[in-house]
Amino acid sequence: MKGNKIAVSLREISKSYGGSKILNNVSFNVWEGEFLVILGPSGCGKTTLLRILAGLDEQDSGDVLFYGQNVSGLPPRKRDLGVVFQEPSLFKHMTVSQNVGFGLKVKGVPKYQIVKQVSEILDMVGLSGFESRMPNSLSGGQQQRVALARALVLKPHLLLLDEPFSALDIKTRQKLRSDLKEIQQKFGITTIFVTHDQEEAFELGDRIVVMNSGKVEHIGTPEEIYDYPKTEFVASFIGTVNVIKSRVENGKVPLGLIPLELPPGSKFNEDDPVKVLIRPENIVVEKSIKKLKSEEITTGKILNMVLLGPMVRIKVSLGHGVSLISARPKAEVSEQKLKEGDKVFVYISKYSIFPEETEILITVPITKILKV
Amino acid sequence: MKEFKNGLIPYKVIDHAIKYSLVGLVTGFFLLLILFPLSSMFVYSSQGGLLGFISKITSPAALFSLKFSLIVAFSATLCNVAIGTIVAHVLTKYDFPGKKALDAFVDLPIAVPTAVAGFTLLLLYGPAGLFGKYFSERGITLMFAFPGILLAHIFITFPFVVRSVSAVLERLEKKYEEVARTLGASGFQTFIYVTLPSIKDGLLAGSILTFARSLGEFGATIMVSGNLAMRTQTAPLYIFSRFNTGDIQGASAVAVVLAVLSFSILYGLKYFMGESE
Repeated sequence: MKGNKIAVSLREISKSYGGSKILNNVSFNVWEGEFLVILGPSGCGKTTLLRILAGLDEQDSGDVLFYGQNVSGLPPRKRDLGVVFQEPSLFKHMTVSQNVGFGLKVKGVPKYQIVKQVSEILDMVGLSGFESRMPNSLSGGQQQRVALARALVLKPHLLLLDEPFSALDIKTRQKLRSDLKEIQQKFGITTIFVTHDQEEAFELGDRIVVMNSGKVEHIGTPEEIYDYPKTEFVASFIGTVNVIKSRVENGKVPLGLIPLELPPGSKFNEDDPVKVLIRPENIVVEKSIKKLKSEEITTGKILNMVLLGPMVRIKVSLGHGVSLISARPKAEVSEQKLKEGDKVFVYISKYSIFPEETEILITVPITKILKV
Repeated sequence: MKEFKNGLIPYKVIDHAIKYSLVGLVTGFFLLLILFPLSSMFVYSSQGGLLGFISKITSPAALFSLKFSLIVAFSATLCNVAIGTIVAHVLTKYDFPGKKALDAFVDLPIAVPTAVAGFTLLLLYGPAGLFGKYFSERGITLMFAFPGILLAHIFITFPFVVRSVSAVLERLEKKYEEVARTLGASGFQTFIYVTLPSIKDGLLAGSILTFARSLGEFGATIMVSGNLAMRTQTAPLYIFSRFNTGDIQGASAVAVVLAVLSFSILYGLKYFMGESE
């Protein structure tokens, strides 16, 4: 929670195109000054949702509220917002400063004020001195900075961004991302950012809304989404994850030789088919048992190891046809002199259990955390 | 000479034979149909020497016809720029029942013989016509006067601006208009500041085509104008009348001016299109 005012409120937004449901009862609030990221695969409805917020599309049902006022049906210019699209979409026949000053000009702001405000905002996005350049003489990153300046110069209450950096190369993208976050904090502007890139979502978002097939799967801080995913989709969409099918046996879920305990409050019956989801970094691989403090330990054999920069990906077989991918820091692996074929102790520090067949939202806490 | 293996003529020789006979054919067409007629016009017009040419071209009726043609062409272009842009906008931006039919009707003036177009206008707007009667009762003459001629030229040249502007509008992505709208621009401001500058090339190309076509219009004009010298006679009608009375030199003089004017327009257009690419 950033401010204590709700800036944007979506209430049961639904939208269909040609018979297929793009958005299905989407509801959430955005706090004033918050940086909210809507994350999801392509086709999940996130862009449609942003267009509805902007007033470029209209929802079939439900309401959009800005500061408690229903803005449904209002055109974009009556909504006091700025939008940055995936492509910079700069007006080709206008210079940088004419592009940035466009919104002020159509508002009837006097010329000397436009010049002043445009140069202030260009300074802020790092494009001082570019005033008289034409858009086609700028790089993709610079064009997107101009587009951002053009939206921000109007000092809107809400900034909407639709995958603004996805067409840029990785270095430019990273630089723009951190600059955007800085600018957003300086302005304190409520921001909704749509992306399919989880790295972007985690770096930028105060909170993340994970969407899939027109529905909200999970809303939470990056930590909550990563560590306590509410649905299997969220767990598997974000980060990498081991998925192992199993069944409930004697109130536990066997994983190789380890009988995993069911999380407290979960409503599984005996013999229910389940999926166990474990993130690679939550699988500890040790040569000596002394370092591990829990009883839920099993033995395994290292099948292969791949160095991924600062981390090493280790594939361990637990026997019984179960093998897991673990990720350990490189330093730890070197210290232990782990190598392929080694017999090791395997310990699972954190896992989630989901029913196998369903994709419905699970409201009970189903993630069990073991204390290391 | 080289012996051909197996007595076969190589493909290269056949290719060359085809190429040069086609080039010869095209050149022949060009000479007979375009270059010879055009140069004979210059020859006829210069029969009385430069002074003769000047006296023919500065005769009041000749000057009037040229001036009148330019005024008609300019007015028709102006009208079609306005109407054509609106039509192109409606046809590319909105979906409505009957859109396809309307779209097909835009090209109708190209298909309809110009004399037929003039005739139908005459029937409708002439003194005895359905609309013409209404106007003539109020003392407004449409046919055999400037308004009738303008109407005919607007009709004949209608597709040019519509088609060239639609082509640009179809390529003009919706996103620019959406950006303008999110920046607070009204529909009208968006059109003036964003759409219009983007379609100006298409608009200019369409205008030049309209102007050139109007300058040379004959069939419909002769039906609706009455061909009255010094009153409703455009340059093509003047050429026709002079020729009919046997004044070949007078006809040629105006024809030369008209041809040079049209050429300049055509090459102006080509130059302009090359520049903008």
